[in-house]
Amino acid sequence: MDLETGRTKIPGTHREFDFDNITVFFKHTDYYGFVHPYNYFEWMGYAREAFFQELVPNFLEVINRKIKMVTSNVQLRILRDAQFGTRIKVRIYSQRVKRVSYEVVFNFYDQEGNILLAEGLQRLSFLDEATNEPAPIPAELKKVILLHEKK
Amino acid sequence: MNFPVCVERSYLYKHVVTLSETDQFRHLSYANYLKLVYVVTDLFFLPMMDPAFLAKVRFKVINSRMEFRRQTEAGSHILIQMNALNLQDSGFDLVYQFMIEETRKELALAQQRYALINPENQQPVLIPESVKKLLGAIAVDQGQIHFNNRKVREWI
Repeated sequence: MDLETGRTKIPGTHREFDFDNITVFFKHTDYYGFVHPYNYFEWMGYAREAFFQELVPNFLEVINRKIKMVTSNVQLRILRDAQFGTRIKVRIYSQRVKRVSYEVVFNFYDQEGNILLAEGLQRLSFLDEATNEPAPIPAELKKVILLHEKK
Repeated sequence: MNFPVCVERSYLYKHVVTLSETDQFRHLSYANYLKLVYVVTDLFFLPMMDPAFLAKVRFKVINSRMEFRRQTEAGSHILIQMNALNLQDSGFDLVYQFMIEETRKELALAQQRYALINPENQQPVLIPESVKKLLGAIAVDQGQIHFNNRKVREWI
């Protein structure tokens, strides 16, 4: 446990960030009572925003600059079904951090039993709003991204 | 002289991006693209989705991926072209090409793999003939679909 952040830290490797505020409600379920896949995409968004909001003190100021964070691609693999009442934790870390983009890995766990439910991946790219050309990841974001980078 | 005739059909869905679907950055958010993927899929299969059918066959999403190529804003008229590929005994893929209706400029490309399972015992079931026929009408080859990311392509 990292005393500064309260997050799990694996010595010698990388940090991981946990977003554990998800409970499956009826609105998340499909015809058969299982979590509809769409929700995992939405929860990926929550987890990555919570990551930045918690770890970057001036995150709101950063995102209002002229350099925009854009989702280039997303992937999801569902391993097990989850149902109403399941409490889900999303554990995220970064990988393949480049100058203008990086990837975020999302692992969704059923908190009871720590069972892996689904795996997600997003590539986030940064663009200059004025020119639409790739732009460097803002320094404030890159700092925390690198701390959580799995190499 | 005989000319080879190639007929490809797709399932087409038209959508106008509403203000409610955009976020503070004034673009259609990535999650709302995925929402449209499921809307299009559900509509395509809707005619056969009666309780008797659903009691025997569950269409389960196993894998999903999407690439975003351009952003779009409220008021944009978009066209989603859906095709089927990789038809197998108990599963198939659906691919979705999002484009600006007027210009046909690409917005995004998505692909989902479905497994057909028995909802009671979660075991694989063979694709019913009715589903096979429906998918066959919009089938294309994987080679026609071009994701930019090579590693993503390996996933298939």
